[in-house]
Order: sequence, then C-alpha cells, then structure tokens
Amino acid sequence: MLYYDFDWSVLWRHPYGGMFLKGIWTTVHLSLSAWMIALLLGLLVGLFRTLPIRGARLVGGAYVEVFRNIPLLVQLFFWYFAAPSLFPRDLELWLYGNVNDLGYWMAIIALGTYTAARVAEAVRSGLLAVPLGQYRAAYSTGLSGRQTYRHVVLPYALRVAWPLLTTEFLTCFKNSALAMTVGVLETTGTAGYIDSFTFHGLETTTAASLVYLATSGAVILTMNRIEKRLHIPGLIRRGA
Amino acid sequence: MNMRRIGVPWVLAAFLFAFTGISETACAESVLDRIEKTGKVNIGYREGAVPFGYMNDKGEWVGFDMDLGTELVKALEAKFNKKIEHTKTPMNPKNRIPLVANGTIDAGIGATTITLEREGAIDFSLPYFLTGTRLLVLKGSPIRDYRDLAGKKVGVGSGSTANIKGLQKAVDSKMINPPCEMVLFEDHTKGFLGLQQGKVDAYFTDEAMLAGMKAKAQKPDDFEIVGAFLTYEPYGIILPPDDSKWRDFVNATLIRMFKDGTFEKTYAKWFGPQGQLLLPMPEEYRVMLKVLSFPD
Repeated sequence: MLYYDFDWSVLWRHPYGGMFLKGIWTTVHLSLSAWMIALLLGLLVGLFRTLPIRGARLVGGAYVEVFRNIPLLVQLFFWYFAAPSLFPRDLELWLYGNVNDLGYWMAIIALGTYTAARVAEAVRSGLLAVPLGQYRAAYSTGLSGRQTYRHVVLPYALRVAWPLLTTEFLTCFKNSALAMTVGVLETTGTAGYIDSFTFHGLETTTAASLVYLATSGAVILTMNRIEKRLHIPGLIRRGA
Repeated sequence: MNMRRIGVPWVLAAFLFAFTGISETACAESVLDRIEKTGKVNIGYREGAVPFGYMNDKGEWVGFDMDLGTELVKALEAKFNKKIEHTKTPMNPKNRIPLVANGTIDAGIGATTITLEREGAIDFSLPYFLTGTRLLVLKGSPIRDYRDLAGKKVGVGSGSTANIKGLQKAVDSKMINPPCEMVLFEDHTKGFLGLQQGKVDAYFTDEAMLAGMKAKAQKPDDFEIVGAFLTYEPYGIILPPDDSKWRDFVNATLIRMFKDGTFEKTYAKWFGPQGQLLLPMPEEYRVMLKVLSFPD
C-alpha cells in the first residue's frame, strides 16, 4: 500500500522549476571551477613526482598521499568547519562576515584539491608512459630540460593521459553532489530541498539522476571524439 | 555501446511513470482494524529533539512525544481489551512524512508543524503543541528582533520548510530590509555549531527547539532567545491519509487527555520546573487546548 501520487510538475512549476535550473547551473560552475584548480594543481604535482629532483618528488608524493587517502566528505567538513578556525580570530570573523556562500567556496577548494591528487596520478602515469627514447632524442637535439618537457614530453604525456583525465573530470562532476552537506544547493541538494517542500522526492531524485546521466553522457561522447584525434598511433592498442 | 548509454535514462523514466497508475489503488482497510487484528502498532519518534524524543544520559530513548504515544497505546488496549505491542521506530524531519505515507509506521509523533502543503501528502491529528519561531543569538548580540537581521546571516535547518517560508515572507514584506542571507544547515546541531563559530549571526527555528539547543550547550548562559513569535507552529501527529476511522480515534484520545488533565501532567513532566526544559505554557497554547476540549 503505497500512498504516493506522482506529480511531475514539481520539476517546472513556480518556484521549483527556477530552483531546479539554478541548482543544475550551480553544479556546472562549481564542478568546472573545482576542475580548473584540479587541472592546474594536478599538472604541477604530477610533474613534481617525475622530476629528477628528490625534494620535488617527496613534496608531490606527500600531496597525493594526503589528499587521496582522506575521504572527500571529511576533507569537505575540514575546509568548511575547521579550516577557518586555523586563522586568527579576527580574520576568521572577517571571512564569515564578508564572504557570501562560504560553503560554495569551500566546496570548490575541497573538491579541487582532492581531484588534483587524482589528476596528478593521471599526469604522472602519462609522463612515465613516454618512452625514454623521447627524452634522449629531445636532449640530443639541444633542447634544455624545460624545453624538453614543454615541447616534447608534456604534450605526449597529456595525450596518453587524456582518457584518464576524462574519467577524473566525470568523478569531479559527480562528487560535486557532496557540496549539499555544507548547505550548497546544487542539483542533488536542490532535489532534496524541493522534496522537503513538496514531498515529491521520487520525482526530484529521478530528475537529478537524469541530469547527471545526460551530462556525463554528453561529456563522454565529446571526449571520445577528442580522444580519437589525440590518440598516438601505435602506442596503445585500441580496444576492439 | 553508446545506444545502451542513451537508452538507460528513458527506461528508468518509463518505469517510474508506470508507477503513476499504481498509486490510485488506495487501501480500504483502516489502520485501526489492522491494529485490532494483529495486536501491533508501529509509531515513529524523533531521536534528537530534546525533549520531544531523544536519548537521555542513561542512553534510554524517552521524551514528551513518546509519553503521548504510550497514552495512545493504552487507549488502544482499553478499546480492544487486549495487549497491544508497541513498536517504536526512529524518524527524522527528512523521512517522517514518507514513513507514514508508505505505511511503514501507523503514526509519527515528532514535533511536526501542521502545514497545508504537508496535508496534501498525509493527514494530521488535532494540534497538541503550540510554539512559534524565534531567534537564538549570542548573549549581548545587537540583534533583538527581526528588523535587526537586515543584511545579517541567519542559520536555518534545510528540512525546516515552515521556518524557511516564514523567514522568506518577512524578507518579501520588507520587514527585514535589506534582506538577510539564509545559511542552510543539515540539522540544528550543525547550525548551533555555526552560531558558536560566528558563521551566522542568529539561528532561526521554533522556540521549543531553540530552548533545547540552548539547554544542551556547554554554557547555556552564553546564549539567549530573542524576538517575538514570527510564525505560530502548531504540532500535530502525522497520520496516513484518508483513514478517518484511525484519525478520529487518535483525536478522541488527545481530547480525552486534554480534558482529564493527563496532558497537562505530561507537559509539566517535560517542560515544567522539574522537567528537562523549562518552557512555561504560553497563554495562546492554553486557549488552544481549551478550545480543543470538545464536549463528549
């Protein structure tokens, strides 16, 4: 005996329709901002881990271990609840008083730094996949160490790492749902929020699932296309 | 490969749309008849709402709402003249309405405000508790009333929809101008932490809840509850929809308790001077109980 009347209009009816669109839009810019941090920081850390400098490798390794081995939810709570208290009290209060949507910004930092550790591993594996001969060839043409990385090794490594980066991007996109736990109304949070007003959680959760499915599908299709172009002939055997 | 990926959402959607028809088949048997037949009743209570339903220092699950539920079970036993097994199911503000709607529990007693929107999904008993929304602030805060919230940050529970709507109305009517920023918290405990840290300048919810939060603080004197009632929050028992037989029985039990003094004694046990939380019964509440004391 299920007392449940489906009412799909909660998805577009005023004011819920607007809320839902805003939630989807928040998911998009939150995960893209976090991805920017992840990509820049991850590239740097991944590079550090392969440099022929011991200190750099240690720093890179420590970063990856710390950020990859603590659950994302715990990191998010750390940034939102604990990190501001590490500042002097005046600065902490200034932060609370002057930063609107603190949860949103902390979610970007948490998601960005966490995903960076995973991106770093993708970049590292790409760099390690570059045959030694490429380095030697680059050096032998008279390129400096920096030029070797900039013009030969990195472009090569990124093409190898591309499929992995696609996966990490999708993970980052989906992980953004955790931001709801610090009060950010992104897609999942909005679905729950509309549910608490209308008690039509099945509809809103279905819609949220479809949003994630459709977006991930579109990203995969686009990335597959780019992947085909970037594929280095003869390096990896294409799957059947 | 790609075809399958595109197909999944549509299959899922079609599957759920198909359910739309099933919901029409309402169950004809009253919950009351079923209780008589099986000798069992399943009632939902809160676990973290002092003193409505919570774990006490000894780890026992007790509360004002639970005492009301026990009275209800006693009334059932008197009516059917046999032992009724009382199952207590934990519920929270997020799942309390679905749990009743899908038939998991026969009634939900848990500091739930009666709203018309909620009436659309489930039914309510008569109100048994009356509180109103106020503000919890740090002692000595410049915030004394809702007008002082202009441009400030106010914490609210993300599941407390009646509170959110009340605050939104105050903003829309320019009572709070410029508008305050609403900061959502998953539950009141996290919101209270936010208030202590300074993330929000005030926390907004029912006075009965605020008093509970304050009482559980390490130094209750560091906080104060300010402002007049912004909205009235009458609490009712959540009941399955379209079951007037069961609803009438619950209401009759409440009315009997209002009239024979059992209710007032239970109130005093939890909210009186010897109780968990000192919350004298406001005049409006007294009047409400008097009005609801329908004659036999």
